[in-house]
Amino acid sequence: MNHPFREKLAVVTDSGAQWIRCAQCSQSLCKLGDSWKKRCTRRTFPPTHAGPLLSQLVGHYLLEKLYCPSCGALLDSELVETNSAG
Amino acid sequence: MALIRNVDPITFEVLSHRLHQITREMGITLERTGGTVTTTQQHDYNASLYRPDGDIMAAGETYGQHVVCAGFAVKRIRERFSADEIYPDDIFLLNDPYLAAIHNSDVYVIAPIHFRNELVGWSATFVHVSDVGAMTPGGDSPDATEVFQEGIRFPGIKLVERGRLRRDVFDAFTHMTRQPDAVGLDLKCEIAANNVAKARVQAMYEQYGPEMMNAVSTEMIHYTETVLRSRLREIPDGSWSETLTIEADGPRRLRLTLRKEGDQLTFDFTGTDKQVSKGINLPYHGTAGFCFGAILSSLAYDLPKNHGVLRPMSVIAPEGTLVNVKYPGPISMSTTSSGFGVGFLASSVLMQMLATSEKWRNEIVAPNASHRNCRHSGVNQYGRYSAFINMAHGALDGNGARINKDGVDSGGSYMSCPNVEWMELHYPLLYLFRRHAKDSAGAGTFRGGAGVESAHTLYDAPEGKIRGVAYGVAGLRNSGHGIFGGYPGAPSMMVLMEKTRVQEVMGKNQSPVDISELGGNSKLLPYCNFEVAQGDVLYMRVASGGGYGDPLEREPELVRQDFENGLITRESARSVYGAVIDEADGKVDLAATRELRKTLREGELKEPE
Repeated sequence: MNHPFREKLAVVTDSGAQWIRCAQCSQSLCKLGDSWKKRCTRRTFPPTHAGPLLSQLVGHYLLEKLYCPSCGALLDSELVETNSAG
Repeated sequence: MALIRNVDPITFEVLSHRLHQITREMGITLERTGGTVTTTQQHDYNASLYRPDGDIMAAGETYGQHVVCAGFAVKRIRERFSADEIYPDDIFLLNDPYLAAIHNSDVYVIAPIHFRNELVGWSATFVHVSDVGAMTPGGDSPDATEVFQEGIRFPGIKLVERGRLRRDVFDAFTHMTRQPDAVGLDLKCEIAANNVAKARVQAMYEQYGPEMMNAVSTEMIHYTETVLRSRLREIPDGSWSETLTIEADGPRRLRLTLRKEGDQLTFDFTGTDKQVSKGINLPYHGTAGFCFGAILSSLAYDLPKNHGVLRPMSVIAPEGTLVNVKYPGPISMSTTSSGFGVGFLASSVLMQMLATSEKWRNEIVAPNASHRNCRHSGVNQYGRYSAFINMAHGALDGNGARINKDGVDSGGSYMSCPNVEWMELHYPLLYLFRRHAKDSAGAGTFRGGAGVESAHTLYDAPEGKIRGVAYGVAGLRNSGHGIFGGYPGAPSMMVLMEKTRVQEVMGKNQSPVDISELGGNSKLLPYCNFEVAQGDVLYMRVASGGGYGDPLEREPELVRQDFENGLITRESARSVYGAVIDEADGKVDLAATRELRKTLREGELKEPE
């Protein structure tokens, strides 16, 4: 069954398996159930990248953004603790 | 299978709505007869109807968690009293968080409803009373390490017996508090609301008969359960996770995994940190109640609100953790800390689940991890003591963005907030400002709602000070979380600025609207007691909504409108949204915007050096 997975990602059945794909460029990221985040292009920024009032988070958190490795579509933005940023 | 069995659909609709209208009338009764602003203006109450076994028959309009917990309270009363000890016109009181309440301040008043001497249902209310005799005025006690320090606990006792107020019980409860008159009025408004419920339900039984009434309430629950399960079957199976960190003498983590299989939801909090010696621990029934509330507002908001919402869900909450406190752990601040944290987690995983359904993804709202808030106590300008002045600024949170529209600015997450003039009229406070915080809304294709910031100083305070309690979701990860590329809202915070120049500035007839010019010693407030003295300023910023989707895809004209409306700065329009607003004519330069957005994205994607 094909269905959305989240904004800009879709689940598509192909060759008997379900895959998570970029809905913008159809790049296949991984099988459903595997970590799609690991297949993304990952960049981190100071929290203030998201606005000046996040300055208090500087030193504690980073803004991690995940992009489609093929077309660069922004798939996720999340604050991660500084010591856990990968 | 028929959605409605044994009752004709029109009668079903009429009676179902009439039962829900009774809960509304109960609420109006609480508002009109309550003893404190918390009840009369801030809507910190609930009023619902229950089946004879305690299952939810018709939930009131306010708090989902309290609908569930009051149901637990009915079941505890039924366990504590045998059927022949429960008389018509009895009314019970229960506020024990180890049985059904979420913290001692939430006082449940519960009444059996009889028709021709048969128990046919229950009504229940709660209001947040202004004091329960805890170590800190108002109840929330940051220094408590056990529940014994958090005030009086009644495990279920008759407040009214066969229609007569038990003065001994009433006095025993109110005399344990710092404000017996106000608490007494709140107890009496609950009695009044339950009396209204009883009269209205009995009138329906008289008009339609027990057989029809029983059939309708049975079918209401069946209908809600059936529709909700069918909705769940439309959504693909899967599991989704979320975590939240609360700062309480170190980081404390709540973890939730939602598993959806067929038409069943399992909220699994395995992995949540152990309970702590601070009152942010939540009882199990509270955890279940906040999950119920999250389903209610996402998948069941248009259905009759009743036990049918609970049936497709189960909750796993390991004992001895922040989401299932073990006796006698402290709980007094649980509602607004771990409670709102659980509500956020449950909402977040449900939103991730909805995103997998073409049909249901339009219901997505970026979730909100709540805010900081405070309560004051002290003597006001008329010499009257108040144990509990809830600033209620959570009612001014910005809401999360949706898939196709911005979040509501200061739309509120719960309760209502009195206006500034009312607060200043009744309490020894002067608001320096209360306004939308610029650049607070989480950016996105659709942005979150802007939250509110405010600053207060003492004014005409006979004692030259008032006491405060800082509570809520402490730490830097509260407020709105972005979703699907959207950014988080600005964190909610409370700052006490001691010994400022505020008097001097006002003495010069200047408006102290820029707190950075007031000087003083600023400290960020964790969970704590504090004092606001003459010359101090308390600054508060509530939660702002998280954004939805990529901010660089936001319609440039919407960015311009936000700039024009003072919600963002020109610099943020440029750096966060990549929108170039012409300084001369105030219009968006579309060509420059396209170019800037391309440059910004390419810069982001460049390999770090």
